[in-house]
Parts: sequence; C-alpha cells; structure tokens
Amino acid sequence: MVQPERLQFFTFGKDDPLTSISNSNESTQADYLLCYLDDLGASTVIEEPNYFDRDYLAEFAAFYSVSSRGYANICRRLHFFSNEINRTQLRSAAGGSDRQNKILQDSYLGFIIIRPIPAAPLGRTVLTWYPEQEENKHTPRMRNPSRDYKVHVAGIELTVNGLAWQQQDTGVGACATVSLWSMLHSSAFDDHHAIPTTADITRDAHSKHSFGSRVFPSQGLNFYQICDAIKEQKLAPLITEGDIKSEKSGKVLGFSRERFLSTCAAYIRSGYPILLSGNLMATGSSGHAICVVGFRSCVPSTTDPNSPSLAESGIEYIYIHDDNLGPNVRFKVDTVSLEKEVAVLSADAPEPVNKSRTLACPTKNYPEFIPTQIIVAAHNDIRTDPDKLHRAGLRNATYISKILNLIADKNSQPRFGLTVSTRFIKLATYLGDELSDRLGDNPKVLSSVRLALCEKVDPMSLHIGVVRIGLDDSTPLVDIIYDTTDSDRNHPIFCYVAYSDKIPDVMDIIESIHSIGLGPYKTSVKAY
Amino acid sequence: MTQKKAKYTPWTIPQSDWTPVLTGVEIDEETRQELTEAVRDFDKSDLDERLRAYDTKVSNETMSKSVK
Repeated sequence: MVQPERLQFFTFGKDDPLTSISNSNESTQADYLLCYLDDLGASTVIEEPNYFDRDYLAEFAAFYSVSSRGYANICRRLHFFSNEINRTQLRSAAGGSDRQNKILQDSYLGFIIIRPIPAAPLGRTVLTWYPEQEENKHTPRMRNPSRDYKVHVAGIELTVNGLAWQQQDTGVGACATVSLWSMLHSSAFDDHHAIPTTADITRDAHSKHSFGSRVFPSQGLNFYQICDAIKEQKLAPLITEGDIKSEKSGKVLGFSRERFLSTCAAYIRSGYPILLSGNLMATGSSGHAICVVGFRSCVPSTTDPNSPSLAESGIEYIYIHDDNLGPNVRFKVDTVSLEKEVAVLSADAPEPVNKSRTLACPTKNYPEFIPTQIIVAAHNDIRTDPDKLHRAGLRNATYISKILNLIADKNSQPRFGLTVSTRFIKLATYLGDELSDRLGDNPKVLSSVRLALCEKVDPMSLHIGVVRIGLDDSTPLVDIIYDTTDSDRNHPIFCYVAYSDKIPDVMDIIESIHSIGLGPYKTSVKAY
Repeated sequence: MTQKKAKYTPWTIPQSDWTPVLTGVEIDEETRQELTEAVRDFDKSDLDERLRAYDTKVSNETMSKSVK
C-alpha cells in the first residue's frame, strides 16, 4: 500500500531527484532538463513523493498494470523554484500568507512528473520559457500555443505558462504519439475539448487503420493513423508536404527555407503547434517526429521591389519539443545541399548562463534534422491552409507592388519592397487585441474600423485568415480578410482593411482587371 | 527597398513607426488608366512558377510512412 510521506526539499543540482536520474540513468533528457533549469536559475526543488498523474494512470491502465514487473501506479512530482524555499515558508504560504504565496509564485519555474518506469521516468513536464531579453522586445519569441497550467501543492495554487512535454515510453506512445499529445495541449483548443492522454491517442490512431498491428506496445504511427488520432478529437488534420523533390527518385527531400519558415510561422502565430516529420541525419533514421512550439520572430529583410517576399523567411530559430532531448529546445534553421538546398534544423541551445556549469548540454552532439512533412491539428471550421494564404498574399502583393512602384517612378519617389505575412485568428481576437495593437494610438480610427467590420462587412466566420501585406520596414498597407469556412476553389474574401489612403485605388485597379483573377474584395475598410 | 531599416515585425510595429506611402500624390483618372494598362500587360509567368512551390500534394507513399 502507498504510505503518506512528507514533502521533500532539495537544493537544485546537488541531491535532487532529477540529478539522481541524470547520474544513474545516463539520461539525455534529464541532462537537458538540468541544463535548462540551471539557465532558468533553479535553486530549490520540492518533491511531492505521492502524486497520481492522469496521464500515467491511463498508461498504467492500458499497459503497465498487467506487466509481471509490478509497476506502481503512483508518481512523484517535482516543483522547481528560482528562490531558496524552505519548509517554514511553505508552511506559511499554506496558512494563507499572501506574501509567501507571492514569493512562491514569482519564483515558480514549473514541474516534472517522475513515473515509476525506470527506462523512461520523465512524464508530463511543463517548464516556463526563458525570460525575454530587452534587446529582443520588438522581435518577441512567438509561443502562442503555450497555455497556463495550474498546479496545487498543499492547497497552494501555482501557475506556469508553457506547453507539456514528456519522454516517450514506447509501451504506450512513440515519438509521434507524444508529439501529438503536446500538440493537443495547445491553448488554441482551450475552449474545444478535454486533453487526451497518450493512451487515448494511441488507441484513437488504431481505431481505423491498425493494419493488423497491435496497439500496445506502440511501434510508432503512420500518417493515416496520425490523421485518425487528430480526427477522433473532432479536429482537422492538415498535412503539408515538402516542396523539394529528388529529380532521380521523385521522393520528397525536404522544404525550401522560405516555405518551411512561412508555414511554421503562420501556424504557430495562429496557436497551432506543428508535428514535424523528417529524418535525423547521420543516424540512418527511418523517420522521427518532433513538435514545434514557438519561433523567434524576425524583422523582414530588404526586399526587391519587383518581387515581394514572405516576411518570416528570415527566421533564425524555432523552438521544439523533442522527446530525445526535452521541451523548448532551440533549433537553428539553416539549409543543406542534398540534391538541392533544403531546410535543416540543428539543436543550438544558448550559451549557459552559469559559466561554471560542468554538465555538457546534450544539444551539442545532437544530429541535424531534415523536416519533410508538416502536420497540424486545426479546428474543423478551418477549411484552408497557410499555402493558400501565402499564394493569395504573394499574388496580391505582386500587383500592389507593381502599381505602387509605377506611381513612385512617375512621381520620382523611392520604390517600395513589399512583404507578406499570414495567420489564422479568431475574429474576436482580430477585432480586439490585434487592431488595438496596430491602431490604439488613434482611438477614432480604431473605433471606426471596428464598427465598420461589424456593421458593413458580411457576417464573418469564427476564425478568419489574415493576409497582411506591408512594406519591408514592417509598415502595414493592407489586411485582406479571408473566409476560412469555404472551399479553396472559392477562397472568398470578406473585406480588406486599408492602412494607407492609396490602397483603395490600388485594389480597385486590381479588381477591375478580371484576367488577374484576384478579388472580389467586397468591402473596403479604411484604417487611416 | 524602403529607405528605413525594419525594427519591428509586421505584427508588432506601432503606428508611430509607420512609413507614410506616396504622401501628396493624387491618382487621377488618367493615371488610373495608365496603371490599369500597365498591370494588364504584366507577365506573370515568374510569379506562377514561384507559387508552384506552395501547391504540393500529399503522396500515398507519405501517408503510409511510419514515424517512430
């Protein structure tokens, strides 16, 4: 029988349970987590010795309970704090001290569930992100899929913002399963459904396309099964195939950098984590899956006036949950020449904050990863994808650029380079935070735009597709607002929001030439 | 090529940092006709070629691929 036990307090990095796992198991993941927490400034670890974890209980019921090894059904949970916390302080917080509760919350870094599975002890893990540096305030880390997790220790409520990660156990879930599991934790689905466990996901994946294989232990998933697991959650699977193919074999080699980054940025900005399928170089891997959870936004690069660019093609870093390493691993995006240039990702954690750290971060020797497919779980009412928005955006931007630069030439003014950026967004969020952030300096214009979008535009869908076309110094020129609920063949536009007084004339000209095939733009909303 | 170097992203730029576009320029009917003709004759073959990368189909081979 499980016995009650006292909470345990440890100094981080000395005798705490995570360090013990690292020392005894030679666990790459435990090493990564120690390095990550060290950089976050972890100081104290509080262990709850008895913790019933929903995910592990599902794994236990599905697999471990009938093993002759006699696995326990209870876990441990470790909480990490950047302050030194002792039992007296915790006792005071548990007694209702606002001051001590604030100290705990302000220094809370997140938690790790330790499962009683020696080969894969690291269960559900949510750790906060590295704090933003002042120098990056205009190009923030985009981590829209992250959400708040509330935890309770002796009645003390603590909150951490992140996205859950766990080590694959291969009994119940392989890398595709745990990547799907992280995806389905996204904040985008907060009002949609209960989060499934890894056991649920593996069962769902086998519901229609089992191909005679057993469910547990999990041998990995194919794409049919991944799509089924997503559809069982009443969500829509969206797959994007790499655009670079081998001339010889016709096989997909990977993605062009521009398409890969623009697609990732559009999804992450929309709140959708991405399951990347691809190959680890130098391992002969037959296929690995990882989950993209964020990216470092970038300023657009200087653009040729004759050829608009995608604003996100210069992204340098994306953040990934990799079950071989851990959560929020920074990967550098580069290209590698196979038969042609394709995007390649290299684990590239920042230099340690603590220069005296002796533990080497396992990202140093991790093989490069070449993504070949992107899989996303989106809301069912989204019936289009970023490719369609990017095509529409580049087409529109090319004609807008052409017209603006003809006018500029005629008036002896400098020419303009244009960029395109896209995202899906809830209509309420666009009308709320997004327009407020862009137009908040001018309340009169903000008010007139919001009212025009409500009163003069055809009723819009819950999620809209926004194609933002602007100058290469990021000045917005126009948002073209697409209906996401119709077929791609129709790809209807609700309206456009013009941020410059030249845009309505430009859009009129484009719309009037039927052979171009753009528009109808329906309603023009003036935001100037 | 806009003259000012970008400091923000298209989703973070405040209104105070926007660059005015073609200030003081009026587009009269004659200009409009000129622009319409110029755009009508625009050769879009390069654009079509570029957009082909954004129109890939998922193959049966991919759907059967196992991820471990």
